[in-house]
Amino acid sequence: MNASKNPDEGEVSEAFVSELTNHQTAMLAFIRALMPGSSGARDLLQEVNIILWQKRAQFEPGTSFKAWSFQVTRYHLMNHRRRLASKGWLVFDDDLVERISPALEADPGELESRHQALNLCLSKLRPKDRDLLQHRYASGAPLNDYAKVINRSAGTLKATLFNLRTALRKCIERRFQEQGISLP
Amino acid sequence: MNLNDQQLVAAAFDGALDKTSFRRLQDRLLNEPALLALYREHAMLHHSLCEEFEGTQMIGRSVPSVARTPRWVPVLAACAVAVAAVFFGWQWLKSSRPAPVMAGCAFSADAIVKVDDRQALNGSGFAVGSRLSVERGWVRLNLPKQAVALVEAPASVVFEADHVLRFESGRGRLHCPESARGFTVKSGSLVAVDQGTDFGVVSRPGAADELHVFSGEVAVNAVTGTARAVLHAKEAAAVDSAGALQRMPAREEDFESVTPELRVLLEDRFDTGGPIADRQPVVGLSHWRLEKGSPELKGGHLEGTGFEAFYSLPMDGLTASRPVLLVTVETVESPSFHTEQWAGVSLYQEGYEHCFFGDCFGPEETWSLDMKRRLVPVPTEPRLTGPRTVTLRYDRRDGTIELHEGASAGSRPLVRKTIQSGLSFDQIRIGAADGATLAVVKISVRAIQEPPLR
Repeated sequence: MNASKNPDEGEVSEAFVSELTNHQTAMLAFIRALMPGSSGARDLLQEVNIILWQKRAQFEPGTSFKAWSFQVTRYHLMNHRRRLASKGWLVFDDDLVERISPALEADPGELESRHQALNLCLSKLRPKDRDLLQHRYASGAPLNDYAKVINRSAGTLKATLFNLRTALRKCIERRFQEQGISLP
Repeated sequence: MNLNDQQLVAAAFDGALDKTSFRRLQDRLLNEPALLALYREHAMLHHSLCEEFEGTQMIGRSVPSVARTPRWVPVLAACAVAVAAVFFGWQWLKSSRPAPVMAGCAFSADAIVKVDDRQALNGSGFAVGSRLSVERGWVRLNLPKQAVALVEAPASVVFEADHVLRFESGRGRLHCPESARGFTVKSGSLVAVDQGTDFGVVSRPGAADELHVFSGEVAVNAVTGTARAVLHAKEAAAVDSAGALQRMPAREEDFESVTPELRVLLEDRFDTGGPIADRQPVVGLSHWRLEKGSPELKGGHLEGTGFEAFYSLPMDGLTASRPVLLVTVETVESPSFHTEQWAGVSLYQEGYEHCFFGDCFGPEETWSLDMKRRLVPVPTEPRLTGPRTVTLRYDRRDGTIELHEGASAGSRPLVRKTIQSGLSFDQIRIGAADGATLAVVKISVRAIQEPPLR
């Protein structure tokens, strides 16, 4: 932020806060895409938020906050690969991150539309299928524990999860088609 | 797209891939646009499902309504409030209007902190009535009247009034200058009233709480019963929930300093004190161990030929919140510093010498950096010769290692290379080979917090 261009620092910071807030979900989705299977996306988002706040003076109002913040996120991931790997998290190589990042970036609007579609699709599922999804995404506990509780084999649940996610993807795709929205 | 690809991508998001399979997935994503498109679809669905379900009920509980407001709305709202709190806290710090009763917060680089159950950002304010939860790292609170509290994770602290902090759990250190006399710290079992001092408190629900005084005096009262005492420097007391007060010696080393960004791991000046064997440095918990030779203290420095002296560095010296090591050595003229042998300083971990700086083995007459897994030492550029003050900087986050002239590490290193990241170094050695001489006036080893990576 150039003080001579922006005499009212308060207004600029307000705009910055607004941009940061609006992009939280998109940044989180981006981190999750670059660290598949890792549970620490929210921790990493918090780290990136702190960096963005510390670097806020470098953000020029009027330019793309998304491009800037995603770049900072990418660099943070790449710089901290070894630390993240030491926690057992799998993170893509720098070269791959650089090359596939553009494909994995989503706008806040797209994510909102996807979530609305997901809600509708979830409402069509049987309760026990929703319970299974909830267990998988809410608890993070091993599938075996849940299998014992509901007296089914872990292998069956794994296959059911796979089918459920396939069905949800197709359902979301259909919702987008019905609304005339093309998926990126 | 075949079924196997879908299973491969699904397994990635389930964390079910081993390193080899993950590597294969990476290679294919780079070259197969169709697989990348599938991966994106899975990534977006995975994110939406996480947002929908994360933090909701576990096994045996009811299922939330799927038609409710998206979960990210409250998340976003919480973020907005947290960020707005930072903004207004920052505004408050910038403005000249009278300060509300609020403490400024500074976090360690690795900190995870919540204020009233909302994620907080570094630099945000901490208002009276709020609860601060430090889940990782540390937080320094700049309290009214120049009092400072350093709260270490895991801890939960409530700012009860402008001069009262309640430690619900955890450990903290307080610095209360004369202006903050009367500052009060409460825990489940004790109430401590400062009388112009430095002290630490440990709050352990279900066990005795502790008060440790490092300087000055602190009055401590049991919450239950009538036990009370005035503790002086180096005194401590444990108070249990029944009100029993037991005195004991203070353990200052258990508490972070109020300036935890920097920790001096070793500092020694060789213009005074005893010989190097078993010598206690000016700052440092360990002592020097002479393993070879007989260097002497003379003319205000330590000088030796064919000697090796080791010092054990604390295991927790380099941490995630203090990831940068600075080793500064000040040398003076010696008869044979530059020789074909070596003379200088080495850093070790688990018995392995990871790097050396000084005059390296070989004919080059210059200060150099020897990264022990590389074949050739790297000379400084420009070449640095003779008695100098030189600082080695190592950043454990990315393994960057640099040599600088002077007592600090600026932006223009004389050598900049990379070694293994994540090292913590458990020993440092000063020494010289037979035929070479090292003359040292001062040595210091510091771990510092330095958030931005270069």
